Amino acid sequence: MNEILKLDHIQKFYGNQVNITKAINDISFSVGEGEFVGIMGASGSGKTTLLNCISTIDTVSAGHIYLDGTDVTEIREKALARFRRENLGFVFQDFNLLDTLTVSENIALALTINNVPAEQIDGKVREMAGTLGITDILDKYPYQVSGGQKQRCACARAIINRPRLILADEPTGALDSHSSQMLLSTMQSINEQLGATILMVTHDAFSASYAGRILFLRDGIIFTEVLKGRDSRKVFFEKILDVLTMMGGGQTDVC
Amino acid sequence: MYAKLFRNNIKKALRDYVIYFFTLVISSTLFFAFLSLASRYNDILGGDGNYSLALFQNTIRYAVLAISVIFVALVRYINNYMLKQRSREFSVYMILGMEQRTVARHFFGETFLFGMAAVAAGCIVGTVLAGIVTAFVMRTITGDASFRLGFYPDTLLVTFTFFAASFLLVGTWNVRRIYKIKLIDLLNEKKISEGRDRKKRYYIVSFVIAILCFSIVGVVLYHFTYMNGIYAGSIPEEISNRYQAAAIAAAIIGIFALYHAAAFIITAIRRRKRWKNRSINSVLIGNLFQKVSSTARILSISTLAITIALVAFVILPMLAEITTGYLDYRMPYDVMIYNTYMYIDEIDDIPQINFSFVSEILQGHDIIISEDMSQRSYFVWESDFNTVDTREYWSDLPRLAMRISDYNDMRRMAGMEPVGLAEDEFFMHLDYEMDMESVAESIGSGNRSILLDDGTILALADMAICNDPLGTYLFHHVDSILVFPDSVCENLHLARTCYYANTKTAIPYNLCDTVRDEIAASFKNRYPYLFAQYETKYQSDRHYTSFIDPIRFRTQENNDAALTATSVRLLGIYSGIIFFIICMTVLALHLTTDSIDQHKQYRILYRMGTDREDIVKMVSRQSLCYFFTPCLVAFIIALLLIYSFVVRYGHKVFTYMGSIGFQFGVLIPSLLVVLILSCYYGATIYTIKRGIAGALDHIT
Repeated sequence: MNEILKLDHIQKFYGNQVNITKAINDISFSVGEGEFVGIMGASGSGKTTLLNCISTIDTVSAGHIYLDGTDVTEIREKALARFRRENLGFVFQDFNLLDTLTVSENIALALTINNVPAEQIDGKVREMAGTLGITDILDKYPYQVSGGQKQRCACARAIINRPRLILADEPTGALDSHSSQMLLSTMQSINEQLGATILMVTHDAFSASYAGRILFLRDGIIFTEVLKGRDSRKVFFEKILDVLTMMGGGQTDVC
Repeated sequence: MYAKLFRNNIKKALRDYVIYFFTLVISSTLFFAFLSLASRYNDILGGDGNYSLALFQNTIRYAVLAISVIFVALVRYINNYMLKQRSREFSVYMILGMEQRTVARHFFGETFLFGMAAVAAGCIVGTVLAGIVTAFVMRTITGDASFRLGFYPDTLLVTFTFFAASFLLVGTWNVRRIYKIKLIDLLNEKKISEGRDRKKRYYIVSFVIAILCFSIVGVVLYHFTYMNGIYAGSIPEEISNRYQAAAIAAAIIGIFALYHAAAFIITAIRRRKRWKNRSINSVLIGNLFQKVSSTARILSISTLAITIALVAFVILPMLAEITTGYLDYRMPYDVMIYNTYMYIDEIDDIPQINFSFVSEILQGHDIIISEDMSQRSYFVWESDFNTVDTREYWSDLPRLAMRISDYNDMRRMAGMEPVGLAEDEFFMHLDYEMDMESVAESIGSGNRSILLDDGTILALADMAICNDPLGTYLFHHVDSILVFPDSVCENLHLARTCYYANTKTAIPYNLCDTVRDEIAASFKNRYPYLFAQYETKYQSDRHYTSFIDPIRFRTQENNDAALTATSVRLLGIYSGIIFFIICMTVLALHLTTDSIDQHKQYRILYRMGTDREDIVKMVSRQSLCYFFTPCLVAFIIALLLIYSFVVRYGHKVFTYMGSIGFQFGVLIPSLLVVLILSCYYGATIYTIKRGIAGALDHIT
């Protein structure tokens, strides 16, 4: 498996000389192409900060992040927009869809920004909507559809440009269990069928069980790592719970 | 796609910022209408020679532009607010890969188009209002108030240029800001908590400062009122300035301190558990605390601006009334020429002027004099004469005396009955602006006779004081002149010779300056020794003008005073409305966007079993507090400041306006304020209630 993402001794500090908070304290790991990696940890463990640094939303205090060989920490401000639209896809907890655009237009916007020829856009949107099962809501506005549908729309927007890496920050955080399950299945199929590399931050063991590998963060460092391997999702879920119990928190059963 | 995004964003802005849009429409309407008065395409420009609008138009043009600079502050504030509200949306664009430059340009384009659409609407409405305002001005000058619609291309150009420049300036700031902002900051912009819980000491100090400042305002006004009694309703300007400056400074500091202490007051209410625990009052108090502690500066500035608006609404029209009323008193004759001895060092150099040359000059311009007279004033005692070097200050001049025959001639020319005076009596002619009752009171208890240099004793006549309007310059820097029998004045030394004339036809406005110059030149030729001896010596003195000054013509004074009064009245209304609606917009926008942000809170309360009516009631109360507190504080401060102006102008207010005029001067602006306030508050509450209904309907 090709290494697509490599983090090399990342550090992120907040505050001033007198009062420094270490959000990330020397983290290094790699993600292979087509991997589905979950990042777990309690509140304040640094998982969202880590995702923000990888996604170039935030800058690192020290260390390097390589995406497909390119050091993203060295990319100049002006080139960052191009880097993001060509290499990254984002899924947020609160969807971040634009209320003024329909579902179809929200998905198409990612293509427009990426300068995809106008005549190709409609076809690509329909194809992606078909894959994610949201064809019937394409002409609706975000406030007219359910949370699960909104998040699948956000997923479609994130992957329509076939980015090198999809970053998801608590994608099931605002969804009910049924919608969560549907979304996670969708993400899993995107990973398996389209070969998309996914890095997902979550604090929910059930969501994490859909990933192939979990990194556990505590106080800004990687506490441990768990691989799914050939285990079933149920077994993997149990493993995750064990780690969480060891770290101090978790869920008791999988449905 | 970008075009649709652009179009939809403008539509959304129109929906979310409808109050701001209407404020821009109203502002540009007023701007256009008032500025049309200075347009060269406006009909009122074509004067008939009896009036000139040059001064009026310049005053209106520059004052409207100067006042309107406040728009830039409004546009910037609202744009900053929009930027904050839309930060999440912009971060999404950037995360999707849109360049920061493109995001900034989009925002600029949207706000620019939004603003210019409002200005275009404003210009259309402004054209109608321009007709009304023009008719108002025409009525002031000619009595004709017919309404005419006009087309003013120059005003249209200035209006568009002014607003476009404002949007461009603010847009450039925004572009720079968005261009520099980091994505992570944009993403977290709205997450930053608004409430600031400061230390208790901070609130207590603010509270003490507020109490102290408002006490100072009270004490200053009390003393100012006391001074008014001492100066018989005519406090010198320097003293008034000092008192008013102290009151205004204390009020400004007091306002800021009050709002910084407001959170402390709310905290005190929070401790009243019985009230707090009733219904959802705790939520109301919590919201208010957060709002007040985070927006103390905005509330203070809004209160200050509303105060300015209220004061402008009342004071400027009041000044206009005084100016108009003052005119009748100041100009009882068509031509008035005054003489001064202020810059003559030798008493014997004071000239006995023969004004016959004036009628020759006027006749040279085909102006026929129907009646004229020379009026002489005398030193009561010769020792009253002082030179520049022996006077205490430049206007330290004595009260003079005049002949009863001159006095009666002046009265006759002004259309009044003559008065009688016995050979051993005198009386006082008092400035019309002085409070006659208090002067009579002070005379009543003092010496009622006067001993002159030649041993003559004159007793105060029964009439004692007269204050019919005979012009202001008669007194020569004091507030009264004594009227003696002619025989007594024969033995007094001459101080001044003044000239008054009435003409058969009005002197054309355009001719006034020419006639004035000719009179001054002719006087110089006839009395060259004055100029040779004293002009070179004193011309560098900042108070020096000439030996005959001022030379006034009723046509010119009427024109200038009427148009000054009109411009002051119009500018009072303009600045009042502008300041007021700007504050209303800021407060309304805060409330409506806050309400949108609080939809989640309403849903939680609703799910917890709170009645929809209780939620609406809570939000209404919250809005009422936030909207009306600055208005109430501003109203109280404005009342105090208006009171200080009434004390400052003392007797003039009631002399020239009359108490009914003054009451109308206060009542009409008050009605205007209530109307604007009701419209903005009504629109805000309607928007909020609709939002709540939408938010709650969504979950059922």
